[in-house]
Amino acid sequence: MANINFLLTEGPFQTEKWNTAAKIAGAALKKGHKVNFFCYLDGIYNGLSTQEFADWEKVPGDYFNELVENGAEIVCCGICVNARGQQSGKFFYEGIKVGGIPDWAAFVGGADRVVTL
Amino acid sequence: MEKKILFMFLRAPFGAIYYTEGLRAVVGMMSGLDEHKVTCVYAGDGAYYCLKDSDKSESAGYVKTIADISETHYYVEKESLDERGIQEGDLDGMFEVISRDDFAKLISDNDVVYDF
Amino acid sequence: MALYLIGLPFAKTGLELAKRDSDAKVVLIEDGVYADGSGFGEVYAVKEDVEKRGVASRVAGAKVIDYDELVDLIVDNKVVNFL
Repeated sequence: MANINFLLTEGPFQTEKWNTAAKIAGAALKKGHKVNFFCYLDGIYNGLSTQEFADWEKVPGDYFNELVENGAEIVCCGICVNARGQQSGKFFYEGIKVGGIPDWAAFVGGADRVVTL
Repeated sequence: MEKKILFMFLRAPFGAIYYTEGLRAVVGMMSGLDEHKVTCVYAGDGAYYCLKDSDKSESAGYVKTIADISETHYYVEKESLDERGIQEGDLDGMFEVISRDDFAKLISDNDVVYDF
Repeated sequence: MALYLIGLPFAKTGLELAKRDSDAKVVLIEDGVYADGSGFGEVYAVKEDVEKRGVASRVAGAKVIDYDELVDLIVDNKVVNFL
């Protein structure tokens, strides 16, 4: 079992980074690997529970919520969260945490692999 | 566990904020309990940041904090400079010019490689 | 062994550096499947990205992999991120 840390710096919808991240992380969890995310910059928008887009059956936030339900740990940069008007993550899915770069540094310290998206 | 981390700055300043948020991340990486060792390298369009006349006011505070924590190298890849017609005399003195071969060696010498 | 994750716009820089690493394995991912990954011993391309873009014939030299196989490669190699 490996410990994989993801750095996600891009938000949902605009680019496909969220999709690639969710697919790789989902596959890793199914294989029994430990997965954690640090969401930095616009990456913090991925964990919002308030996303709506009628064209899609599931929105990006749903995928990240599923990752948490399947054992992933997701921490968002608090400075980035508040800078973007997200008020300490009040609209994040439960289980998606607000923290800081020290959390990221600790993830990296414990990681066998680091993937950036 | 302490790791050796290479931060590669590859995006052009100032169209995106990565040039300075990457340095904020470097500060955080070096300050944590694990005290990771960080090296910075500028390549591709990221090399434009190394111009001596580029505005470094947003990132100066991070560069100073990084220097206070530990001696840190800021390299820029020679091939990226040549491709963009940048002469060594155009560069800010904080940057050390290295070859692409040396850049490749940095990648193999570090445990973690970030693209910013 | 190092696994170079290659996307755009960093493909050119990433592939140049991977060429200097005799142990390099290259993964073309997202828009990276548009890049020329020829000349490497081991080149992979992510299936979902290849199929969406209709470039299967353009990445003929690469082994097309799904996310399960990509995870195995990530776990088995140091990851170098260029995407």
